Amino acid sequence: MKKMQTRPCRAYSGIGKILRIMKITFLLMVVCGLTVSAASISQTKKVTLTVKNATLLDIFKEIESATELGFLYKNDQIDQRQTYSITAEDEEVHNVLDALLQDTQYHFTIIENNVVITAIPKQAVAATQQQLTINGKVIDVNGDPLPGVNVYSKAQPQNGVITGIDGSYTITVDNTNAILTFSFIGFVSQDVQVAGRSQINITLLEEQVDIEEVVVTGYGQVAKEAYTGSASVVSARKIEDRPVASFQDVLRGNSPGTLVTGTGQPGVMNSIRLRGISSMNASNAPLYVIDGVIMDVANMSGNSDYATNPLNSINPSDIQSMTVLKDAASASLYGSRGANGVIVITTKQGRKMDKPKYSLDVQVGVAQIFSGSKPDLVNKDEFMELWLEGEMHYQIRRKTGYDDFFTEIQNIYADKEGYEVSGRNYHDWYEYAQRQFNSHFRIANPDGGYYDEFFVDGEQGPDFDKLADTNWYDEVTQSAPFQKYNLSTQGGSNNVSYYASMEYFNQQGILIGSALERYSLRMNLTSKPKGQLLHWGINNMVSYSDQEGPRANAYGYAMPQYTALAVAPVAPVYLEDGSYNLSLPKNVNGNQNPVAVAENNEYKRPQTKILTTGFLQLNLTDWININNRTSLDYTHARRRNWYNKDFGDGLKNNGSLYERDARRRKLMNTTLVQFNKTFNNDHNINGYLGFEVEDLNYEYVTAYGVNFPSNETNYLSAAATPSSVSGSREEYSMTSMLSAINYSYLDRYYLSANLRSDESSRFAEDYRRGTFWSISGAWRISGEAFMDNADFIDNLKLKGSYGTNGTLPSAIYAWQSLYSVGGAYMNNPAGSPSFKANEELTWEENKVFNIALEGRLFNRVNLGVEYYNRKTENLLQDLPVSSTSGYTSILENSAASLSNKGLEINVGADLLRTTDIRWNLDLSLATLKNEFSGLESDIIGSTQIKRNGESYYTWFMPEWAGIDQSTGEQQWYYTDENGNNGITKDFDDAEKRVLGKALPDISGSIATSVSWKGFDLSALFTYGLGHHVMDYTGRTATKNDGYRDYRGIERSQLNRWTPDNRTGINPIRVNSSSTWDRYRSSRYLYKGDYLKLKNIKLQYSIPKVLTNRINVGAATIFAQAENLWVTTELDGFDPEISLSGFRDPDQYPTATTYTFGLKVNF
Amino acid sequence: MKKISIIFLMMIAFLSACDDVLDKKPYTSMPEEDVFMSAEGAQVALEGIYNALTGEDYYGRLIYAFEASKGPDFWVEDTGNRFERENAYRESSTSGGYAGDAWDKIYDVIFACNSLLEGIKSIQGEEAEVTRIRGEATAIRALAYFDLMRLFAYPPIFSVPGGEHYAEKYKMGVPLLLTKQEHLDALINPPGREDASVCYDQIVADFDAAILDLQESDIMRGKISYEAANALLGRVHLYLGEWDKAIEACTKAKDAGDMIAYGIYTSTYFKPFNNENIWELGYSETDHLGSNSLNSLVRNPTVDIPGHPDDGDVLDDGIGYAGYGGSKSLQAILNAVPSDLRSYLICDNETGRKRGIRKYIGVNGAHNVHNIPIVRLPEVLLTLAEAEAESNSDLSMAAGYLNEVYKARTDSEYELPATKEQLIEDILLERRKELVLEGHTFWDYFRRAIPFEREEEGNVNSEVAEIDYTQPQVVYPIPQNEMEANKNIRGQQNPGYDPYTDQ
Repeated sequence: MKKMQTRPCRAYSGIGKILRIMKITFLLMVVCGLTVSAASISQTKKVTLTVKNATLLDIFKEIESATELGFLYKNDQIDQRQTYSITAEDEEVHNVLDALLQDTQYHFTIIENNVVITAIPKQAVAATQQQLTINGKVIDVNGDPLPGVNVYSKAQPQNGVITGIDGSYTITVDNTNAILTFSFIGFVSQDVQVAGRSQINITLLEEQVDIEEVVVTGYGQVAKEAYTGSASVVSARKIEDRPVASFQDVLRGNSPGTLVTGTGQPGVMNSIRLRGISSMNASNAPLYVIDGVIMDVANMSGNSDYATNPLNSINPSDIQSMTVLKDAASASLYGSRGANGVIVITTKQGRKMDKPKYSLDVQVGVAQIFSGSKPDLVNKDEFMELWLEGEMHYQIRRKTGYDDFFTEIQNIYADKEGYEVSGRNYHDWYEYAQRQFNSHFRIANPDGGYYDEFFVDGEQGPDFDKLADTNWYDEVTQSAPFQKYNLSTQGGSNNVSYYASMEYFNQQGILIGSALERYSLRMNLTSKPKGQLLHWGINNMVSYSDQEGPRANAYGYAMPQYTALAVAPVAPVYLEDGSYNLSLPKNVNGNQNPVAVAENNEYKRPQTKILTTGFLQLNLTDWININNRTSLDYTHARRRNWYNKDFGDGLKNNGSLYERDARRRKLMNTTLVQFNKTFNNDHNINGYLGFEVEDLNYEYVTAYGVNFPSNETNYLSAAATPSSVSGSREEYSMTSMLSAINYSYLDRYYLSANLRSDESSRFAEDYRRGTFWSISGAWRISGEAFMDNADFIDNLKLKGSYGTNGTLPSAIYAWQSLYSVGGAYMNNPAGSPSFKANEELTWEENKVFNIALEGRLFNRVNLGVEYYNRKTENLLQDLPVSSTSGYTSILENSAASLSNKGLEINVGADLLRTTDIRWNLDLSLATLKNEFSGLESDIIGSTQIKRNGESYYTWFMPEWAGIDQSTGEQQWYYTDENGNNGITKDFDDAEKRVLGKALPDISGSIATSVSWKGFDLSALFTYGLGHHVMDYTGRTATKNDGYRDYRGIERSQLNRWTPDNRTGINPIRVNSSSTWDRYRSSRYLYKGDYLKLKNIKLQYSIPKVLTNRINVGAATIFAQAENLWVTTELDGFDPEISLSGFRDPDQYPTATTYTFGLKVNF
Repeated sequence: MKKISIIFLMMIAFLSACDDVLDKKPYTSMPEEDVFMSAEGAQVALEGIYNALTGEDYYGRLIYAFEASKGPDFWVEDTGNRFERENAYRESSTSGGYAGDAWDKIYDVIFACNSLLEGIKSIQGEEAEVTRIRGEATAIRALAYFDLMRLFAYPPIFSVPGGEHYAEKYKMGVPLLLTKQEHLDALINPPGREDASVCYDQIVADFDAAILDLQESDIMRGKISYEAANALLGRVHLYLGEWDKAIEACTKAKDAGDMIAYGIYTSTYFKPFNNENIWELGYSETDHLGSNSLNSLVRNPTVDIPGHPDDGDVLDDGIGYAGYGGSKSLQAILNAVPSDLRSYLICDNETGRKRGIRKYIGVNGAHNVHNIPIVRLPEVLLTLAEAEAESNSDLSMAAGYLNEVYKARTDSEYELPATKEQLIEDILLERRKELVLEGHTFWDYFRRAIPFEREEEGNVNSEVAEIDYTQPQVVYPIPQNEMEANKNIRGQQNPGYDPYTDQ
């Protein structure tokens, strides 16, 4: 063996077989999982090599290629100018390294198959002070020794050693009061006062690997500092403990520019809009990608009123991170489907570690109706007061006619004894109204007759106390228990690492008869990621989720939440004999007692989902590989609607049952050639080129039967009358070529570009291909030399992107001229032309511009400012055509477009950061300007309009001018010939006006947390500003001045105008009074501004001393509450329920959930 | 390593190599070119056309309900009922009652006919089958245009030059589309209305062509036949006042059936495919219109099973809601001849205010399940009678045809009146009795411009108690939706309705 040192030169040797220039992040991940078992074997490995004038790095690479050893070191610690020559003939590695590093300032340790190289601090000047030799052992929380830990004197960092295989070290310091620093990559560094001790044993704690440092795009991941696109990352910590069925809820308040709306129904799919709304006829929902699989999220129930939700099959505890991709640079990777943004989910993976880590997570809680979404209804006495008054007015008006009514009513109030209308004075009319009350609100008695003598001769009658005082909304809601148990394990050996979990989730709904129950299992396996020819992994999830609950989004009478608002409080829920009251006043809603409906009808949507994805990667060289990923997304979903035969809809058919059985299968295969190469240490190029194919098919059968012998035998074979069957199948597919390239220079300048070309089966052959692209760049200003003096800036980065992506039409076969078959005429199969081919149908094209500045200041403030402008053109529109063509409308790419512009600002700061207390505050704000252009004509709905220059949900209706204080009539505005504002009482003369919009100008969140010792208190607020909401509930059910007089009434209606109360703000009550249109005005439009306390949580980490005693690694307990408080103009409305701005009587109310949780690692 | 690489690459190639992965076809629809590969496929398309005729927006309800609501025999309950706007003559340019549904549906049928007529051109061989299918589709197209004319245009006496009441303002027919290409062109540049005379010429030409195509075919239940096409052509000529041609066509049709014998009339008249029905649309237990059926509209919830012990009784779960009531005058004429069995067709309901109609009662109490006759023998005989009376100085010929119907129902002989006018009045009266709820009475008066009176009940108030065709609502307005999508028809609204304005 010969060793020769030469002069430094800029030699660059050839590429080694396995090059290991490691980013610090990777080192982190590997080293923290090192184990020491069987460590010495490799020390006897022998090596033969000859190297001349090579740098140390090159020599390490040579040794790596000649042996099975891997080298671990910090790039910047190795001197790259010094070169060495060395020859060895079948010599043991440690001898070779001993010789090589003898005179260098490097030290090596061989741990199993890894050689850890560390820089030895320059020898301290011989100590003159009192010297002290200290020895000890460094272990991890499991008590296992940690080899390779840097131990050095804090005052003299050059004086340091490294722990050995057994974790032991010996160091000599020149001061008995020195401070020793123990530092190891992947662990939290610790400083220890020597204080004269000669033995110091230390336990190092693992550092939390901070996932936010990485942006996952679904086709790979990029370090956040190098990312040129726009993305927000939500980490596991924000997801794990929330008492939610679906991860979607977590996005609210945690991702700027993301509007999340949804009801409190367990398992329901929220509606998520990233940066506004871009389409009228295609979907506006983002794309969900889980572990590289574009998830199939279709509703399989065949009816949007009873939707199934594939997202609720995912166990949120399995999620490692969610990345929300918003701009072209990010979403264009998904080409024709990226226009609405992409939500990329990665699940947890195993890590190489000594012992498997187990984690048990228990949450129990209870939910109640959120006070903010609960209508404040009148009680029995108030109801009767309002009803009788309204009825009296109604009966008088029947005599006077509409024109004379308003003067006559004032006369009769003015002289209650003497003035008569049709021979009756005020009191006579009131008595008359009471008699009407008797007949309308009669209650069945056990004898088959009715109680109907509530009033006799103006006094309370014998049956008065039979009247109930029911709050029907209380009757259909309940305190609903919640529980979740999640057990997971993580671990790994040299070759394979794994993550496995199982979960049981049970959330009862706050409406009776609704719930979500889920069983979920996951197993993720991956091979050792580096240094092998083949690398593979497989993620496997099976879950069964059973969603149950009432129909939504329609005014079905069998909907408890709707019907509960439609029944007067004087009607009892149960009759005297305990049976349901099935004769409601005026037979309202087909006598469907909402409690009976909720308790006896079934609306079940059980769903089984299998999501499997596996990849196999061939590492051709150290910088290029081929990766092939195959995935199966299979969902089996059923729907059962059972209508009990004793009442309501079921009674008509003597019990009816609808069953649907549907399955969807999606196969996807992606092959990528991936490369990642660094030149001269300064230039890095990485990217991929690939091919993707996906294929989906969907099949279902349905059957409907009626006429059942009993309520217990509610399966189809028991139906005496099979009513109908149906079934079908559909298919679609896509093939894509995809590519992306990222270039970085000096870790300061970044450039990225991507190009994707999709071919979809939804288009005619010649129109199938769509090509989408983006370019983006970033400049890390803080890396520049001229910024060296700006000490307060820790990081400053400017980035921008521009690109295109698209939206597919919802119709699958619209390009073909089709005959739909399945009909019959006299038992002969019949077909009829259904679709007119539109061969030219193509993508909606979305053009997106994004520019952003992000930085960190004073080492405590994070700042992000981002501006975007996206415009969607070729909007798909169902344009009406002349019926003489045989069609009434045709789906076409129109000239219309929608644009969304906005500013997103994020500020996060550590307000307080001492050893004991940390307090931080995060603020986010997003603006949105959503605008139509190019529409050929206004599209006018009953209360909204789509018009050029206006937002998607723009309110358009007559403007209410309050009531006429002299008569109690409603008034509206109109514009007279001179352009002045006039007031009219004739609704037909009222003018429809644009009156604001439903999408907030500004939305965002405020999050704060304080930690002290083991305690951690956090709160999350969300807010929205600058929009209006419509009280459709009030208009149709609870606030219409007696128009629908048998319904529940909100207490705000008590303040009404009468001749005795001329300051009342609501119009005069007249039962069954008027036409419907009169209630369609801005009277029911409210400011939408709101602030909501979304979540508050107190957590306590149990001290190690205690957990160690019971042999548990770490344990935390927490208590939290979700949806606690809201302030907004419209009472009884949770502003986060509806995207289009409606308070609606069919909405499932929001729940306030109180949860207690325990989380143990062992 | 090489070996592994090769295997790996082969695997990728295998997984990615799916040539036809993008060619997807639906499973419950068929691409048009596949339908017209054979006569069998074309037959499926033809059955689809029949099926479209059965819908509630066409022969399933609308045509007959429209006629009943406009004519003298029915009134519609105050509010919340179907066709109340029609009954009150309250249609307007923007609220056309069921005008939009009728317009959409009938053009849908015409489009289906034209698609089929285009498609079958490519079928090789199977000539007999193709000819028959072509004949049926052509005849249905003719019928569809005839129905459009009845609903949206004035009858020939007003609209065809030379008609007794002809005026320029009445002359509009409907847009006439005769090839598939014309429908496709209509997506971009939809046609305006043709003159009524052009439309009637086309209708006659279509029936003539259909009759040629159908002469070799056998009669099939539920399908239009040679005889049915002739009977319908006779009806068209009757509207046009072309008596000789009406006689010629109806003569070819009249042997298609026999009148039901007097003794079995009440137990037979409602039955599917009885001897009098020349063409009827078939419905079944699993395929009927339920509460959208014509029966549900006009029948009380009574048991209506002739001969049944509970016949006429009201049952709790009886089917039918009778938004229509039969008028007193209808009841009177059906009872005018004591032996007239058709008095069974009308009955009082429990309150006595309203009268239910038992024309469509289904078999054995399945009241919603009933066929819809489109043309029956009595109509053919009465058309012959009318045409003979108008064109033949020997009235006994006409009286003979009338008597065939009269005798079958009353078991007595019709006595020849002194004048032609009286005879024609009797024929029209017989039509009103015999063809009630079959889409005739209103149009029988209208086509001859005879004013009529209506009973003031329900939506019939004093303003619409007498109809003399001077008010706009005797025909439907061109629907608002059509005007919005069709620039060429905007200036062609029917007389009396407000002209189109952009809202």
